[in-house]
Amino acid sequence: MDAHRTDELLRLEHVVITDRDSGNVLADDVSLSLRQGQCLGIVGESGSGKTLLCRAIMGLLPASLRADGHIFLEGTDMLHAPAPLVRRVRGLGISAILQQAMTAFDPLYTIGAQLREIFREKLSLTPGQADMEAAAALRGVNLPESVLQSYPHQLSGGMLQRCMIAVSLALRSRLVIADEPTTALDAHNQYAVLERLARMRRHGTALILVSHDLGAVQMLADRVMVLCKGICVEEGSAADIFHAPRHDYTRHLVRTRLALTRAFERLVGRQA
Amino acid sequence: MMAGDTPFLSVQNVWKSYPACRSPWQRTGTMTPVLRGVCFTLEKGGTAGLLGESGSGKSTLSRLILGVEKPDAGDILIEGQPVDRWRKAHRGKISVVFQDHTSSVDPRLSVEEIIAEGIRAVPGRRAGRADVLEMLERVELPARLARRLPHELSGGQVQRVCIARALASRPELIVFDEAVSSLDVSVQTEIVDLLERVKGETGYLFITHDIQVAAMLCDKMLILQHGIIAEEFEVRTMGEIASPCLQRILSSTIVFQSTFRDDTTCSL
Repeated sequence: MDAHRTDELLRLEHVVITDRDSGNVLADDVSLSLRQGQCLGIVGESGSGKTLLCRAIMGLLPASLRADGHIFLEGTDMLHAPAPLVRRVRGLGISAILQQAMTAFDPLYTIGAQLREIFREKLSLTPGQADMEAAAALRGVNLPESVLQSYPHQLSGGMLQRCMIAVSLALRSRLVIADEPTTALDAHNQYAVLERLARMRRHGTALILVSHDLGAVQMLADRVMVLCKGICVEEGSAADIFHAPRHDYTRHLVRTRLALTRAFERLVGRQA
Repeated sequence: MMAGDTPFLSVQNVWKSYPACRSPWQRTGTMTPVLRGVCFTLEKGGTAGLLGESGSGKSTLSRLILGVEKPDAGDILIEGQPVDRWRKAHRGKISVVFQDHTSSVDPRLSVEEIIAEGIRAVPGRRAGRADVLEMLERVELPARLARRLPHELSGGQVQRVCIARALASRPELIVFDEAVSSLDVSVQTEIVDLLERVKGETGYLFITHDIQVAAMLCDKMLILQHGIIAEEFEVRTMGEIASPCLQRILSSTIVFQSTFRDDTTCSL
């Protein structure tokens, strides 16, 4: 691991996450480093510890879990720094795109009211500017302006997901953690969302993309980490991991995904 | 069973609207049409993929076909009879598998009891332990899971139990409503493999937004767009179809690329 690079944004050193009650180790000795504009894909099956790792990076692990090791986000140790500092670093530097879009917004306020509040607070805008920013943010993710007047329950999971992405885009966070951002979306929106994320990357945003969809990870990631039961079994460049997987588990993932792709390619004659 | 040219399932010019709401406590009185004249047929034992974006009305259509809701206009006929009447006369002959597997099983019932529900859906059939074990084997679950409760299983295992329950009544049609969408890719592939083997035993309507999965599992493809079936074709001819609607889907389909060649089957 090439530590202490000047443009290094995030560094995990020997992170171990344990369940306080049972003593079960949920993530075992995970280390990684992420530079500005880089995208790390984390793949692995459900229960492999992908989401926990993301929560640890945000300093949002549930109290029942304990994390050891170090997570440096722009030099602040998210595991050991005082809570107000962690909160400030998180608020300014990271945004998260979560799988459960339905629970990410307050059901009692319209999307417009919530976006306005976020943009006023985080971008120090006037209410008028915040409204314009909110409308622009929605346009950027292909949502009509009428969404601003909608309550979360009136929108589909995919639309809420895109609202979350609109927020991350507008805040120009330095690190975006996208935890299964496209699982709830249909193919067309999936593609649109991945394109948005790719564009964010080009503007220098670092990205952690957690997904079990190898196709999505391949589209964005330059490095890939494969987690299996809390252990990083393989880490390397996306090309190496996907074209020349070494670990049995990675091979299994690539093989199962290829089975689907090959059948499809035979049908469409590789036009896709 | 049914002679001649009556298709097994016939959806004829089906319309469905829902009230539009401005806010949770204020209805505008206007209706938003979701389905605007959907027409298609499915032969007995036929397999069709119903593809559409979120909000295109796929799930609405599946509820109408299951007979749990009624269309505003148009008919849904099975073997020439309205779906609700047909279902009363043929108990258990349509099953459904939903995306949200955790909420489609009773958390207090064991795997065995859940599958027995499916077997008993057919009047006069009894669910013996042997029948249950046979179903478990069909979906490749070990017999030792029979006495477990849903929360003790993984998502993929629960979905297998749901498939076992759906198959247990020996249905003539299964509606799979995004049945593999929320599963991990490796688990998803296993379930797709399982469904490929089910093909031929029963007809099904496979609702999904994933054209790759649909192409693998179905003979026929229906694309639902703006409330109508915008495209209908045989999957094997997919490479020759030049409709903008299909091209749009294909152009946003992410095809995983890998030069990895390894045909050894190693288990974890």
